[in-house]
Amino acid sequence: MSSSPGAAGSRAKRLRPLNQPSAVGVKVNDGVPSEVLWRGTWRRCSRVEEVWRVEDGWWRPRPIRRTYFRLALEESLVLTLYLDHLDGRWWTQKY
Amino acid sequence: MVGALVISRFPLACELAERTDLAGRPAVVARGDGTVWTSSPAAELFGVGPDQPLREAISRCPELAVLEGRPAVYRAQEEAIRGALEFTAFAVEEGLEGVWFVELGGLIGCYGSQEAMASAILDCAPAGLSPRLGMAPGKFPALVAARRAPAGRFLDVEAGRVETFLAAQAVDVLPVPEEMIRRLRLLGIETLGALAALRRSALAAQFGPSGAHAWELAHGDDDSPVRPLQRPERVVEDIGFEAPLASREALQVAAEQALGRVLRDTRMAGRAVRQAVLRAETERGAVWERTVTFKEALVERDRLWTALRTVLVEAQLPGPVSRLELELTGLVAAQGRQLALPVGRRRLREQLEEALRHLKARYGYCPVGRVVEVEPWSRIPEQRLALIDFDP
Repeated sequence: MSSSPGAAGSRAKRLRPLNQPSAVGVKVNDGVPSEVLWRGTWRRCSRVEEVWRVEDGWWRPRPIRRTYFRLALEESLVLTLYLDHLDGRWWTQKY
Repeated sequence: MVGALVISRFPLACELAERTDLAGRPAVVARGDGTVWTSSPAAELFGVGPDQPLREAISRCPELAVLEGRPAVYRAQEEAIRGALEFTAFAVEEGLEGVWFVELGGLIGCYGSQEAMASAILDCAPAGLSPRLGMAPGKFPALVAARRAPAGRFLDVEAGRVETFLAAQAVDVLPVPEEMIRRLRLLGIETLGALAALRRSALAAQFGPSGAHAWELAHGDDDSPVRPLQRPERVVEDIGFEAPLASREALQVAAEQALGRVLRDTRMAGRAVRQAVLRAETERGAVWERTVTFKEALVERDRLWTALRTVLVEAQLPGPVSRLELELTGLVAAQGRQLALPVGRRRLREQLEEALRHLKARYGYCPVGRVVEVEPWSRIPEQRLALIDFDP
């Protein structure tokens, strides 16, 4: 099961954001993801391709403070994850 | 002038016409759901009345004769009476169960005298049903006059006498909600005369539009015209079975046969169908009926049959079927259908929007969304695009 931060479920809400992030299991080594639980299997991270930080909406009740990682996993799988600094959880999201 | 032909307690009248031994005895016609449809005056003396559960009715009147309702028989009788009236008068409007209004203007000239005209109208219904005719300047006083006329006779209320005639009538005759009648009685207003003596504004303030309408009717003001029934063109095919069909498969075969026959009717040449009515009747006169409205006017037999077969497969029939009727209505000129040639983007969009409108009508909302750009420049991915309900 995955969940999305701020995912809305009612039909009355007519504008529904797309590309919502999904929660993902991550093992961290020195602040950098080393393994990712991808489709029920822990996959080792072979390379961190890119890291960037997004901070936005500091004036809103729920500001955005994320660190994104583009990772190359085993079997040539490339995945984008981020660490939400507000709740300390890891999420996967297409960027 | 308007004439009102009334057959009181119509289903019971139809039954008693065949069961003369029950005349004057407490009797009811029962619905399929185990409630009373109509009751005889003798039964009403025991506290039996319409919509009462049969169990309660029998406990109130142990010698009650219970007759099983036969909607198909009553409907056939109603159609026969309406058909006869349409041959007799210029304009006929069907009212509530067992009530028909007839426009009498210019009709006397055709029959020579008022008696001859009234007799011709009364003859439209079998004498065994005890029809009554009321004649008055409006529909409401004519209806009240018919209810006060002796069985098989007419009562004429002349223009200058309407208010006097109505003044003596109980407020029960008013076509208003039962709650309003109850409150009128609580206020001590028992007759239309007492009601007419009040101010219109007072009644409107107390009862709203119904109060104002009741005041007008109590004064005999009812200028609503007789509206003849606009009957749409229809093509009907029916099949009777000597041995009632209990098998659903056999019924489907019969229905397919009926469809084939009805499509071969000359009136169907170059015509497409918007609506079909399937009607099955059991030996005992119970009726099952379903109306199928097509998304678009259909002309192809296969597509018609696909829709009708689905209805038959899901049908909850009241018993073995002795007669099956298929009626096609909403006949329009058949349009050619472009099936194989490539269609343009605009046409595709029209088709898509049409399909979405059907989905919305079916589910109450449109289950299909459209992707819109919200903040395509945003650094936060979930803020760039959103799904909005597609509202065709």
